[in-house]
Amino acid sequence: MSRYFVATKTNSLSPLICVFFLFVLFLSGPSMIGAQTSKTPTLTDEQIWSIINKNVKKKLFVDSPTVTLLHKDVVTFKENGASIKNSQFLIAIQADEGARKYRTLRFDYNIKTSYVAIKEIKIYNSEKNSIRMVPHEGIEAVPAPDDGLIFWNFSMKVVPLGILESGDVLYYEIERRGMNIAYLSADGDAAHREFLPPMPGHYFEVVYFESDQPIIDRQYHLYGPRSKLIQYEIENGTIDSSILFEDQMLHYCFQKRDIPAYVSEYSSISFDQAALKVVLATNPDWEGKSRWAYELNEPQFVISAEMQQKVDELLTGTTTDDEKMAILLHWVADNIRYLGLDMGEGEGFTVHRTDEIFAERAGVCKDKAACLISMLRAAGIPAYFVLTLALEKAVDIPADQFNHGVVAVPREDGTFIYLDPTWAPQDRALFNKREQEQSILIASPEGEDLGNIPYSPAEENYWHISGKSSLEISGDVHLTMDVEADNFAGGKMRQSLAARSPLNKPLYFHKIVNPLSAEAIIEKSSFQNPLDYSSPLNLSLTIFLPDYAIVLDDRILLVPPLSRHPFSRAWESDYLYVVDPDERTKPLELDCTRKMHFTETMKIPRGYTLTERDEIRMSSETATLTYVIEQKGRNLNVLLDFSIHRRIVSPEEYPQFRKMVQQIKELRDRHIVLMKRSKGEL
Amino acid sequence: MKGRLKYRWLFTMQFFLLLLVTVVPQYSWADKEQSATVIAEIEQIDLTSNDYIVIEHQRDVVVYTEAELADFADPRFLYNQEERVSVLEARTVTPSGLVIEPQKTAMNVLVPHSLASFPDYHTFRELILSFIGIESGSHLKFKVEKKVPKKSDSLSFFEMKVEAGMYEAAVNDFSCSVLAPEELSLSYAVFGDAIEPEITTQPGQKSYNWSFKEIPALTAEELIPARDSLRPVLVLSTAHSWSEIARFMRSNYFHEGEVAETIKTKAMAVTKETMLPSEKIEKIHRYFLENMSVIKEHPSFVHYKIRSMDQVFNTHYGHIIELNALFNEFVRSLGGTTNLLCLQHKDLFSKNVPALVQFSDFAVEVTLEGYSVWLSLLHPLHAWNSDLLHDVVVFNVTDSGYEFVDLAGRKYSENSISSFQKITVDEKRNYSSSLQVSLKGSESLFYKLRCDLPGGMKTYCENFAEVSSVDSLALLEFNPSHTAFEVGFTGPWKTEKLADGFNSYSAELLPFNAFDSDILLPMTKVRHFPVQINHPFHYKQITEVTLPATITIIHLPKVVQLENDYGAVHLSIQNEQGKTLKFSRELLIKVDTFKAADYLKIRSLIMTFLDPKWQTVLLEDKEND
Repeated sequence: MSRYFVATKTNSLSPLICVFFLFVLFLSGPSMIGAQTSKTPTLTDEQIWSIINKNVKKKLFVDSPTVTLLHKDVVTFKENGASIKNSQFLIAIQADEGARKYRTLRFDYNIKTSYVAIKEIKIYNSEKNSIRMVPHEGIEAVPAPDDGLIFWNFSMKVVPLGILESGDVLYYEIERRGMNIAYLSADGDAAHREFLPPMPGHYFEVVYFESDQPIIDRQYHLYGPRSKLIQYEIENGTIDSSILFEDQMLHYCFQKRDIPAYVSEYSSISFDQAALKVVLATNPDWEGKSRWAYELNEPQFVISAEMQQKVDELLTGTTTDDEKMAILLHWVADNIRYLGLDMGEGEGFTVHRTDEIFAERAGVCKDKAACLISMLRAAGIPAYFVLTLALEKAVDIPADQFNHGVVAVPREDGTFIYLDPTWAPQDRALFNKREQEQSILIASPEGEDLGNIPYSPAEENYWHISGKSSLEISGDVHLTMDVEADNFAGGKMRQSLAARSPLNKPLYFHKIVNPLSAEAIIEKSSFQNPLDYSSPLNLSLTIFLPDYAIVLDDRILLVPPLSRHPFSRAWESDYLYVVDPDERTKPLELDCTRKMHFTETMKIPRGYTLTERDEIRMSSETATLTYVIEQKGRNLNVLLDFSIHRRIVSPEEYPQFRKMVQQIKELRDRHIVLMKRSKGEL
Repeated sequence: MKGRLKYRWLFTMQFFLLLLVTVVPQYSWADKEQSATVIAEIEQIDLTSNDYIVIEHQRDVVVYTEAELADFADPRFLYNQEERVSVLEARTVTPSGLVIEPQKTAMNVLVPHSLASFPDYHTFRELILSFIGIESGSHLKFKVEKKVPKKSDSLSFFEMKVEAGMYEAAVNDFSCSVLAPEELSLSYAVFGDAIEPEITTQPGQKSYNWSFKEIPALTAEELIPARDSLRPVLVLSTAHSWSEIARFMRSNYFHEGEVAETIKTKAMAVTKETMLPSEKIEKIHRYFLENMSVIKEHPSFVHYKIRSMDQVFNTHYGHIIELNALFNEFVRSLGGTTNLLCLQHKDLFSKNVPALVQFSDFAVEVTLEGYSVWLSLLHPLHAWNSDLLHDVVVFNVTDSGYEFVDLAGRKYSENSISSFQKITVDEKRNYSSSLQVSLKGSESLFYKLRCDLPGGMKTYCENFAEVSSVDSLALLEFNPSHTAFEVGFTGPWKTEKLADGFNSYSAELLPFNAFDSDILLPMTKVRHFPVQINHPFHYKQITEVTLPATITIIHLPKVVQLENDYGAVHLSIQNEQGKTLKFSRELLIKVDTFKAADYLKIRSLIMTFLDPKWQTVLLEDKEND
């Protein structure tokens, strides 16, 4: 299926923050534009039988429940950027599971900005030598469900296909005009209307050549005027490509055959990043797009009297710009809720008027960013709107690949400070550290090139967990655990502590300490207000671990409590749960770079000695692990430090990273032995 | 079964709110010790019109944290095309007294997510009302009216289930009122509260009013019962008798005349080369589970005519009554019959209120060639048989009548696991083992192995023992109430390496279904809600391990013996003649639900039983380490 709407969410580990932006997506398609000739005649039955029979002989991908025998897109665009896209699909059903997948066909679109025509749907069966026409003429568009809390008034056509069986081959053809988010339509009825793109005169698209089922023949044809040259880049593999002169047009042709199904791996980077694709655009450079975004959005930044009053109130007593930025960022993050109401013309690629966002206390990421920009400006701090691709890198072709909106504040030295109010709730950082190294495009009057958010080293996202414990001769342990966490790490704790009901906090503390012992008794807890962003988050727990150690006549065996890795849920320590496979073919995506730093000083009973000092040091570009346990007088000193230096672990680096994580897991159960000194022994 | 039946009709929804607030206290988002409170929620049902049932729903909630907005800031109202929903009032009142009314774009009418893939159900809509201008401490107030056209046919009746708060927040005042013609007979029942309605009469009309005060907030706790048993629930009906309900169901469920040819052909194809009636039924059941999509959210089938069986079959989806009726057609094709079963937990059911809305689950009783069985299209067969069909009232609708069947709760003595295992370890640390297991009642593996677990017994044994080689397997008993088997394993003997050449070893726990063996019941005195496990049970395991001469037993944990009103735990490891370890593990839990006040008692039984400390020995193996 063609992809026609981009909406990126944060991954499931961060349910409290949901990103979505705007930037459109795309579909356009061909057949007739004005006086142009159709480039894609509907396939005849003979042609379809021929493709089916050829595939039967090839016997490729026979184990797959469904195979796409043909996916052909033909796009034609005009000088003004208006386009039509014709898509033909031929899909072989090879098992019941495949039949279940194709009970209906669903096409979503925004009726104000685009049009979808279903041209033909047929079911072929070579065993029965039959062709069944699927009626679709009477299918009415109905309002599609909201996408999270985004109400941008999409419609959908859902066509029931009846009962499909193994051996059936589904053929369908659709035509799309316009874009799903762009209110720049011209006159005329929907079926013949030209829907101009947000950036008039330009065409772009990201075309994927893989899907969740094998594809025998994938073709993408693009026809455009000779005056509008296309630049493109192929990512994640190879695709045959050619450029031909046809009449007054250029014909760009991309084709690949026999493509296996895209297989995702647990916790790997997204399909959008890893799949074979072509990114193409007529737009010559990023600077032009940057200026376009600036000019389009600038009129929307309106400072109302109420907003100015709120800014003045919030900033009373502040002196530095850093202070002001932090206060305004967190106010917007915590007070403008995530909600996408439809503003009408321009929705999806233009921000709402900021005086309205402020009054409504609601907006999606672009609107939250816009509101912050106006509030910063009201405080005398210049700020720009920024397009970005959450957690990912864009291909360096000036096509809209963005799905998120943030803020840039220029510094005197020409660099920028970035702020993201959408990902900032319960996070002290001005820009969520998970979003490090992702691509950005600052919308400025001068025009900017594609850039990146800076890298965030492990040390910025730390858990410092220090324990003071005492081991009784009975085997009981008393432990005081002091935790300081900041940025990514602090955000995780702040989100847990700011959970809906205060009654839930005790359960959170038990989840933290459960790895130490199911019998752990939390005697005392204290923690900082999670919405106080003035300093890193602090938490202190006093814990009693009854019968913790194994006490023998002449020795005591135990795992030092903090070696058991409190904060071991996937919520905080995703790395503990992603290293099952021996190897990977796709990069592993972790939540964030971070430092897990445990130190414990345990007072042991008089007369006992640690039998063996232990030390482990492992290091790679991706991570570093240090573990040391030694005795100083009556104290055992334990250090466990795991620093993750890269958020994305390549398949080559993965085995070494896996070894380190396995080592940490092993340490969680590794007992130390304290030997009782015999009489007379020092 | 209480709280575990997953199928919930959403008729429950409409509530209303009084706009009572005059003085609004000032709070900031940072004040996290406050959580949302529903000041008032009111449901008003007017049955006096000849044309419509009018349902008004009001709510006034004060929200303090952004997280709470998920429950309250965008309420959704489901309805079908014959019904009308209007927003009579919607406003945000900020702590400073500013009143903000949502604009038109903040009221969206869409096809609900749950029905998007089912085009025949695109006549349903969802109105989503989004509040704007929310600050910490704001009141969110709405009043929404729904008009349901009255039907004139003889099978028309009104019924409704009102749950006092389908969210976590505390409720100060929840009320429901019904205004009805004086002569109309209204039956009602309240669960979770002993409250009686205040009834007033005026000329030609009768008014009923229920008021629930100070309903506490729900909290996240482990093994908590389902929400509908933690909050007051009111059911209402104007049906005169259960016969009327049975007539209504019969008219929807049973179809007369010949079964459609397409359905008959499929039924034959699905059961071809199958001789036994039990296997034929299982094949049809599996075909339904694998190929039919159940629509779980449906506003009310009382007001919705079910589709033709052809249409249900051709689309391969439907709500549960439609799919059960289609199942009936499959069985009819083979010469059998079915009845429709409507189920609810006994504590949440009243025979005094004839209403379909009382039931939370629907199933079929199939009879074919003298074989009869109860089946659900909603649950895996094991869960259905072991845990759901107990403590349940069943309304069994046949083609000519109906009957109630009361299924009693299971006793711990009926659900048991007992095992005896001998393990011999050689000097190379390989072991051979013979294991005898008897699983009774809800622990029987009959349905799990036959239907739910591909690979059956062998896979089961390999999974739980984590071994590569199952050398022998003898099935001694295999029926729904008892599974017994004897299995021989060989493989490498696994211990955990500790420091200084020490190893620890524990006999493996056998899998059981009574509760999740990974459960965390924290050591805390504070518990707000009851604890509920799947079923009471008795677990008894003896494992004898004969060790090679190279291994020395260093340390055995102390014997644990614990007993209270709810059950007992006994854990011991004996060292028999220095070379044989005898692990004894026993847990008895007498009931399935425990009062919050007795949390520590049930916790101590479960967590002591699961604590590996009491079942782990320390060994020394100089030769291999």
